[in-house]
Amino acid sequence: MRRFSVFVVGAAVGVALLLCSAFAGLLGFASVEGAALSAFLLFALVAADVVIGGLLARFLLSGTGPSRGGGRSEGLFVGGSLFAGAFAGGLLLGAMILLDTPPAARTLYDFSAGPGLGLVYGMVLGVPAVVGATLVELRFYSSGGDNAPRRLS
Amino acid sequence: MDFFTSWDILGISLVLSLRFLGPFALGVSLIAWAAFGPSRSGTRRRSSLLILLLGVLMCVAPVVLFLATDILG
Repeated sequence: MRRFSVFVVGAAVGVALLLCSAFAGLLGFASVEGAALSAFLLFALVAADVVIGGLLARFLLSGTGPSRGGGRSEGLFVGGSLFAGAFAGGLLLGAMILLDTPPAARTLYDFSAGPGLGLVYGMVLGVPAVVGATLVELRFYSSGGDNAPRRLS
Repeated sequence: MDFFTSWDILGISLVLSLRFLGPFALGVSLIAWAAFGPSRSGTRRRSSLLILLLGVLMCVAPVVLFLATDILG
């Protein structure tokens, strides 16, 4: 149940980060100052992505007993949940682009925009979350938290 | 149609955001790993410093390139 809730929260965060990236990118259309603000917001989003990945991994590990701590890679699970959310957000965006385009004017780009953007943003937003979650996981196991087995020498 | 409800503009914005977001994601990941990763001594510490410098470079490079192209172009 804890893993399911972490997956749902991670997927929701992935969708939110995708939409925040889209609206932060809109600021860069206007001027150079807007582009600088857009770059700053995107940097903040990536930093928040690392922190959120770490928090989700900490929440996932907090209920880990001594018999369940070993071979699971929680970092990949957290990053995968954000990947799934960003991919779902991309599919939603692609569906809205298709519905917004008249059927006679739909091209290959209209069909491929959503899945393509979802895949790319899933990877881009998933990597910092994997790093943050893996760092928390390594520290958790190296400190022997919650009677977990030690994995680092 | 309203600018903010036009979905294809959001898609174009996502594509253009990747020029900053992609290097930032790699750079911040490298910085976080070098700063908070498992600490070891000797040559590993020197390599983590190199990873940190590479991460900072990845974060600074798109901003510098954007400003340079804006000034020179």
